[in-house]
Amino acid sequence: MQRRNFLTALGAAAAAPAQTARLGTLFVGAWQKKIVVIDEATQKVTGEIDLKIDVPRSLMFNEDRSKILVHATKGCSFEIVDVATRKLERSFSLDTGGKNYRTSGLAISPDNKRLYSHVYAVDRKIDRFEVGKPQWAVVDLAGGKFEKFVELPKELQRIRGGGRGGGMRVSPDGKYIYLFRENVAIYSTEDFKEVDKIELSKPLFPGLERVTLGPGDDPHEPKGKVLGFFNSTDTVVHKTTFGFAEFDLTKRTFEFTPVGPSTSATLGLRLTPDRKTGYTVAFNGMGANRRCEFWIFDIASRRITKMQEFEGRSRFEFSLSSDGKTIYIYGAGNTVEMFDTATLRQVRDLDVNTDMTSNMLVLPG
Amino acid sequence: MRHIKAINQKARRIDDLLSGTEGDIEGLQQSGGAERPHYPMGCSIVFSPGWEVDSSGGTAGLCQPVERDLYDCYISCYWPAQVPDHLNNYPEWTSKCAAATKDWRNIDLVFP
Repeated sequence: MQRRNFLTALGAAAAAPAQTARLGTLFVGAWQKKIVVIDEATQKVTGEIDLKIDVPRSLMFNEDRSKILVHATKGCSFEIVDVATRKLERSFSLDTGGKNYRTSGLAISPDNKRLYSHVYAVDRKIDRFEVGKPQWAVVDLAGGKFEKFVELPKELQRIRGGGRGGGMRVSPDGKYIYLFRENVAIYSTEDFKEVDKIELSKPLFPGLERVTLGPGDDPHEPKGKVLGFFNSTDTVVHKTTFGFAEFDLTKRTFEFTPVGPSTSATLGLRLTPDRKTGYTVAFNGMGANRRCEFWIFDIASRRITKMQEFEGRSRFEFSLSSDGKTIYIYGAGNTVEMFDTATLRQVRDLDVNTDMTSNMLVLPG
Repeated sequence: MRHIKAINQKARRIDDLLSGTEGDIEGLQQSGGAERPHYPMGCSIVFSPGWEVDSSGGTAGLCQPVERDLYDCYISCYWPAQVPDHLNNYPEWTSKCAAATKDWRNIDLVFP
């Protein structure tokens, strides 16, 4: 185990386990501008929340999980849904006139007042489109408008991506924003000046490639911490290794634990309510040769305890139930496949009667 | 305007090499590395969903049946040539079709 700071170990020990969760509710965006609501206990669709702007592209809970922020497909548009009433509260677009904005990565401040993102503007002129430079953007969520723009440093301008809200996390005190790309950079949320940087491939961690995070919607992820996976390549014999990366967003400490031989790709990590066990889906090979496997981890020892191959559909996402007993495979279609975590066998195929277009949010009961 | 002409064999070879890299006709095999094929025309070679290729150049990575993946033509792929322009001109083209594998007959016909 490689440690940068002894405090990391102390921080890990201090993290209290989550309470035992009861079965709750699932929310997933769907075609025809709506969010499908699924009751975990009955495994049935119990409602639909109609949206105004467009098909949802991604869903995010706010800090206390009382609202869902929906990123719509059309333009730079957002909708806010109240979780308790299951109603659309309001919608707003950040595009103005002929000026549209493209976002990359989203993170909500802990006080639920601001949304941080990377954007670039596309300005429609009479004879051409002008594409602006990528910038940090701070969105005032109450007012539904941009509050501030700060130009990105040159080394970040060429890097796009971050996925569905992934790649960006705000520290619990709201003072820092973490950007997980080729390196991990930490910025002040006041002036967006870089305050620290973890250069992943430098001598401290030679051969370490980018850290892969989930979309940040695991309800059992420890508060103020981020668990992800990394791949590293040995510089001498080029052997690739897969492992765990853990970041403490408050203390700015981290640790990397190699686990075993690398795989083609993994989906994000999902934790059980007691945070003792983690699940992911790993891929080996691609195209017709691709094999999908469930991997189960013992979080304390950072070891893989079980691997089981399954017939994964061509494109899918995965999630874990509130009680950690059912794995959901969904996306690119209208069905949610449910697997029992004890046997890793499929137990049910739920037809939600509409094609799913976003990540799935799990709200524990 | 070209001011210099190649007059010997070596110069002609250099000329051919440069015109090959700057030309407006691009061979499919020229760009992209050995692992990732390059498709200048996008994921499909005809204007019809179901004829696209996956990122490895085959069809094994495509959704089965193809209707499962129909919405992604304009969401994450944003390849609107194969489907009606959902974002601007035909936002309601799927308003009667919730699950494409079951309701594809209800998708609107669009006549541009």
